[in-house]
Amino acid sequence: MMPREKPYIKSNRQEIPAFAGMTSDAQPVTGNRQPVTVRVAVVGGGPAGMAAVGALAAMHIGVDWYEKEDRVGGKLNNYHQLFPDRVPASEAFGQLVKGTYHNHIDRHLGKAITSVGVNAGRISLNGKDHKIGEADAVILATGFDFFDARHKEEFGYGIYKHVITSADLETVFADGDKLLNVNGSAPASVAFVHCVGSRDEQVGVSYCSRLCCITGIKQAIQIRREYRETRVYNFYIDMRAFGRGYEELYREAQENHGVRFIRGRVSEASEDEQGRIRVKAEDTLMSRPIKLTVDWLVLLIGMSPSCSAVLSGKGEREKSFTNAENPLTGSAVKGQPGVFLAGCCAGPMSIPESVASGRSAAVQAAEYLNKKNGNSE
Amino acid sequence: MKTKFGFDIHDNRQIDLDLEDTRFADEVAVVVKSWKACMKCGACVGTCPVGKGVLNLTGINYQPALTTCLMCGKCLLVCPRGINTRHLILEVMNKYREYGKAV
Repeated sequence: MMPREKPYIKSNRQEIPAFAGMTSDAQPVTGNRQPVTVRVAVVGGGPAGMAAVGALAAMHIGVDWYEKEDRVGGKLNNYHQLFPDRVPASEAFGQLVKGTYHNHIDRHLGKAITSVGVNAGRISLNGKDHKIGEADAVILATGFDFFDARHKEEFGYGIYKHVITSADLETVFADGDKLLNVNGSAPASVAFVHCVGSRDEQVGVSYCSRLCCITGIKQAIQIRREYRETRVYNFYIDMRAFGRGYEELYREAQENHGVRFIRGRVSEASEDEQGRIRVKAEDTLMSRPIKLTVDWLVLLIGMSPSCSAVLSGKGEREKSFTNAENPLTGSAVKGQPGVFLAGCCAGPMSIPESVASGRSAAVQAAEYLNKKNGNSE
Repeated sequence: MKTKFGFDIHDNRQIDLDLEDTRFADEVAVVVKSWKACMKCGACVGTCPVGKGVLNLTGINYQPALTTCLMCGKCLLVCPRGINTRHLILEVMNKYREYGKAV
């Protein structure tokens, strides 16, 4: 399939100053360089990786930080505001990146780790065809991939211009772009489809990505705030607003912003002669079929695993979220001593959960190293 | 409509949201704002002693389900979203009278 053009995404993006310093030759700015005897590698520069790196450095542990892109921040760089309080993503990034300007941290940007090998207490980190580095312990914070919505062909992503994903919409907001209809004016109606690439055996996804519900609520509110006349519909299977403040935001979307929630999965979308999207669904609470024409159809895509390729080197097709040995009490990986999981490589997580998970992995790695080296400090 | 030749013809049951007229709902929501917070759980219908419930009011067609309402207020007690259903019922009745529809 041809890469789809995105005429609504302009390149008027401002570089945030905090990003600018994050090059591979940036000088560390805080922390005394003390002799460090052990080094921990952190793979991934997203929220979980940033949290893990900051926590390790604060414990005076040397860190080799690998990120496949040429800047850190991961997907956070493309987000606009974070639910439930609509905090700007750049603010959260700023808070997290602050802890990573430290003497004990060596950044290796543009380095993609594709597999790790555990050998007699040392862990080697390998790129595609060569060894990149070595460490005493590794924290994997490789995050997730967005579900490829083209697999749900009935929604027409990649076929119809006005079908976009929640990730695309977030970029539109982040870039300050407008979401205009085919005539170049404010959209009359926008519909969100929940559970695209979540809880769907048709595409081999049995799990719930958890965060798409609240993303849909947040983005629906954002559209209603920008375009007061736009009708916004959310087609859901179940609303799973699980986190603190999420249910309140759901209610706020209904009561204060007039977002309509319709229980029923969109069965198919098609383009009409003007380029608008015609949606067919059933209102399962009314037991009646629904027809609706919208200017934009937004697919709330789920999270797909991207991590197990790192662990096993098996390749693209055998991806799955990685299991910890004792997922209730820790994130050590079974049979791979010294390897710990942080963030979404262990399963779908929100940003605060990823951050907590990153810090937790840092502590677990420190405990592991202390035990291994016979220290009781 | 019952026909003589083996099948029945029903009204079109499809909801066409493009043609939806939300004025009535919007006007009621101005007075009873919490109406929009209904998540259609059905608690009000389940508890209604005359088997009607407020849920029917939140749909697309406002079936005047209120003629037999006892104003007992049980729906008010069970609504998880805390919607003032008694206020809502009275307001819907008022609006129906305004619109010249019999309740």
